Amino acid sequence: MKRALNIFFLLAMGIWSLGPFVWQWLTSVKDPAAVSRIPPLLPDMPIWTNYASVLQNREFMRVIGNSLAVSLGALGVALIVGSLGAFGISRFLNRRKHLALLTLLVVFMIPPVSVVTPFYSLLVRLRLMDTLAGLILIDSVFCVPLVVWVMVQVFDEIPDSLYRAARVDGCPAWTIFRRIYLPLGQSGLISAGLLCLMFCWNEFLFALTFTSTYAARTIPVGITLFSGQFEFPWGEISAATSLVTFPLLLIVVFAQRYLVRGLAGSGLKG
Amino acid sequence: MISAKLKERLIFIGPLIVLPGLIVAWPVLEVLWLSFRNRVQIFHIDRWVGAANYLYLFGEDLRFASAVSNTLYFTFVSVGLEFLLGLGFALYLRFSPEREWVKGMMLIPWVIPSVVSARLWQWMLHAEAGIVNYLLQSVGLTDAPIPWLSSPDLALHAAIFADVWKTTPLMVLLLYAGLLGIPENLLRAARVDRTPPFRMLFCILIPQLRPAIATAVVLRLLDAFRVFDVIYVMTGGGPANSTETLSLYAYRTYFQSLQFGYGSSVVVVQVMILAGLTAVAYRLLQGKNPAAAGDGPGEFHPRRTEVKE
Amino acid sequence: MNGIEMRQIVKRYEGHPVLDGVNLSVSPGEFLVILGASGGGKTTLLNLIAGLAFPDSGSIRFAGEDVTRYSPGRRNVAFVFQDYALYPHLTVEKNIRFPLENLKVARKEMAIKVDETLERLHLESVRRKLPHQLSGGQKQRTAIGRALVRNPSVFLFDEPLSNLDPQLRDHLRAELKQLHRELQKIFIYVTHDPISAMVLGDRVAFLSSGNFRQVGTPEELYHRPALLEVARSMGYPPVNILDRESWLSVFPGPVPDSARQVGIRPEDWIAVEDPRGLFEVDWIQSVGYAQFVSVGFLGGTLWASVEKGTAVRVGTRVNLKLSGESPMLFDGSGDALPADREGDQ
Repeated sequence: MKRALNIFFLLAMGIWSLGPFVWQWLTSVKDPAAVSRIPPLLPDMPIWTNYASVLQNREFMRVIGNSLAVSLGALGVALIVGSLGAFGISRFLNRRKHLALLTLLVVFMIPPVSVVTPFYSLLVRLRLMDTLAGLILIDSVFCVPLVVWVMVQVFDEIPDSLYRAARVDGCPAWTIFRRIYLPLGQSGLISAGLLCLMFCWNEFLFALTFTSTYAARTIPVGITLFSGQFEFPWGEISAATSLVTFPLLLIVVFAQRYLVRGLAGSGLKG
Repeated sequence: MISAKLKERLIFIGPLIVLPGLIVAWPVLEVLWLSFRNRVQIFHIDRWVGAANYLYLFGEDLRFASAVSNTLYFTFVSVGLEFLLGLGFALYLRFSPEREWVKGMMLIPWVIPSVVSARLWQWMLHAEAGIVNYLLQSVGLTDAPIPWLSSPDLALHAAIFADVWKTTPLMVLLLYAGLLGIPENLLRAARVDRTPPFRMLFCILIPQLRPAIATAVVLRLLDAFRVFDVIYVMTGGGPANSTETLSLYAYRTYFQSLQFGYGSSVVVVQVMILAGLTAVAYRLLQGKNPAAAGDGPGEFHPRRTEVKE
Repeated sequence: MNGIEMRQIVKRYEGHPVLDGVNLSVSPGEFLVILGASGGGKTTLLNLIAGLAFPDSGSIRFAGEDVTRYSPGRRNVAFVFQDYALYPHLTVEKNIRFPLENLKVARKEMAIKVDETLERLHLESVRRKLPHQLSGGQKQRTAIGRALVRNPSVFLFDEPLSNLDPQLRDHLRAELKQLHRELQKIFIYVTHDPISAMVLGDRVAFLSSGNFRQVGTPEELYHRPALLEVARSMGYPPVNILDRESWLSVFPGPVPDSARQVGIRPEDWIAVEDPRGLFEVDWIQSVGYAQFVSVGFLGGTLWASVEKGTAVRVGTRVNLKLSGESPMLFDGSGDALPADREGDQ
């Protein structure tokens, strides 16, 4: 009885979480005529023409490259600025620590649309419209608080005596950060980094607004703009989304622990 | 000595002051300032109008009123559903044996771009070719295909559904972490006392989980209130503005009507509602006295029931 | 003066003084224990000596040199922490090398010094292990090695032996004492545990409410406490304190007029079986080498010792008899009477 209930639960959860992906994948291997017609639910023969046309699509490949560049760029900026800041907040701000963390949370939680126009004019002034650098700058504004939140929790758990021991050993703060805190915070950095990558990879509104050509458009924008001449090419869209979600599925499988830890740690103690 | 100390600190905190500090502070001020102006760049209109934008917003703008009500409806319904589903999943994960891969599977919808999940559901809810209608029809729940996305009554619910599907994992994760934080001995003691399951849930688990619930629900409220991607992709705000949320309305005011001043006043009001909502939600969920967050078992606070609304 | 001189040290936290005009001198090669309750300013004092914090006023001199505002790196002190504070991601060898790297010592010299230290502390066999793979003794030695390698003039210890199981603690105490003998450096050891203080210290400084109340050898603190508080903090079973009237009702005899309270250690008070005795035994406690009894008296409890071989049981009536040691006498404010403080500075 208990076993049956357990199996039922797992099945329900599996269908809920994976069902849509299975359907998307099935759509992606159907030929255009079969796509908009059910039944059949299953394709007679999987065909790969949708994938072929997506992979030959220059714009789509460009969009993937852009997403990679923006994500990694913002990740780099956020890890550097964020871990430095987290060390500063964790070590030097005693009573103002909560205020600092709260401010950063507010920044992270601002509705993107509420700052979209000033960011727009900022990017115009910096001549960064429709560039990867512009998107990297804007995305890091939101990734830095994320890194700080995760890393402050990690750094706070490092015993104070290690810091004091290093001071007595004659270390300046910078050396303590680089030689002790960074190596000890490694797994926290991975967690924070993954959350940043996810944010940048998925970010839509800014990427939509601050790009006008395929020079800087990212995957979410590309998918939104993906349309055929007459009607929605659902087979190709499914192929494209299958392609961009597959790496994410891999990340979840292999790095799930880090995601859970980063998020649970930073969320709860606030 | 003191300046050396300050210099040492500036190395670490300094970058934060520029990014995100200045890069956010400036826009916030600019938006506030703009919200008192009428600026339509292509017609070279740019003048101070005082509170006129706000007066129009609250007085005559029916589209704004409907955007507010859509947003609130979207926020409360989706966060409410997510909480119920999330608590169920979290309890299952906490008290069932095999955890690692189940957790991984459960997380999947959360990591994909919301644009992708919107496309996914748009396709599955397609009136003629969608699998959802096909399944409903073959089970016999409906005769005619249901126009999920083209009916003004249904479209917002379809968007809510897609949002719940995508973001429930986050709720599960935060609640699950909270459940892990409840001392095992407390549960053992309750079991020794032969506490029945429902009493266990309402008198021990939920009170202990309250801080985690507060955090999770507030985070999700904030996030749901600014919803943009799902709706932009799935319905574009239609049909007949029936799914237009505040973010979408502001966006269209900016980039379709090109009214930068008026759009700014929309977002200012949006942020204010958001701030008020957060404060109220946090108060209700966390309780006024922060020390009460760690209530012992057995203490029942009627306030707690508000969580599920 | 080659040791450490502290003059009129004041340190405040949020307005109220944690250290209030502390004076202390430590002579070269001395093992000084600072004993005090948690939150009594011990760790603050240690931080001030190390340069991890600076006093609001007062001065600290090392071998005559004023180091009051020197940063920790310039003072050449070593600090061994409660949890040893070994860098968990570095091996024993690298932990010990760490401070040398900060000093920009030449690579060759560094290797020699590290090897010397490892050898001296018998750590060669574990040089490539990480801290979590070490035994308690090895951890302590690594922590000391990390301090030793810089050849510091002062070693500071912040209760490194608390929270350990008793056997290991005794072992580490012995090792620490041995090291002190070999190194002949100043050791300043801070603890709240009177037993550690008694066992380890050449001298013990009793710190309470922001100042030293008594500084002396462990014997002086135990037998001639300067304050009621000091008497109370040392020894087990605890010292018996009676007010003048109660004392006189038990032991009529000469007590100076100024003595308001009288203290007597349980081991100086012998319970003798006597069917018409004043007291009834409620509890017999054996600590192995000796037996103590507790008796009820005027609503409180008194402790006394029992001579080996007597058949005292719960319920037995006893009388209490003084052994050779004379009782400690305190005035109304808890200060010891001067007659009792001879030999104490």
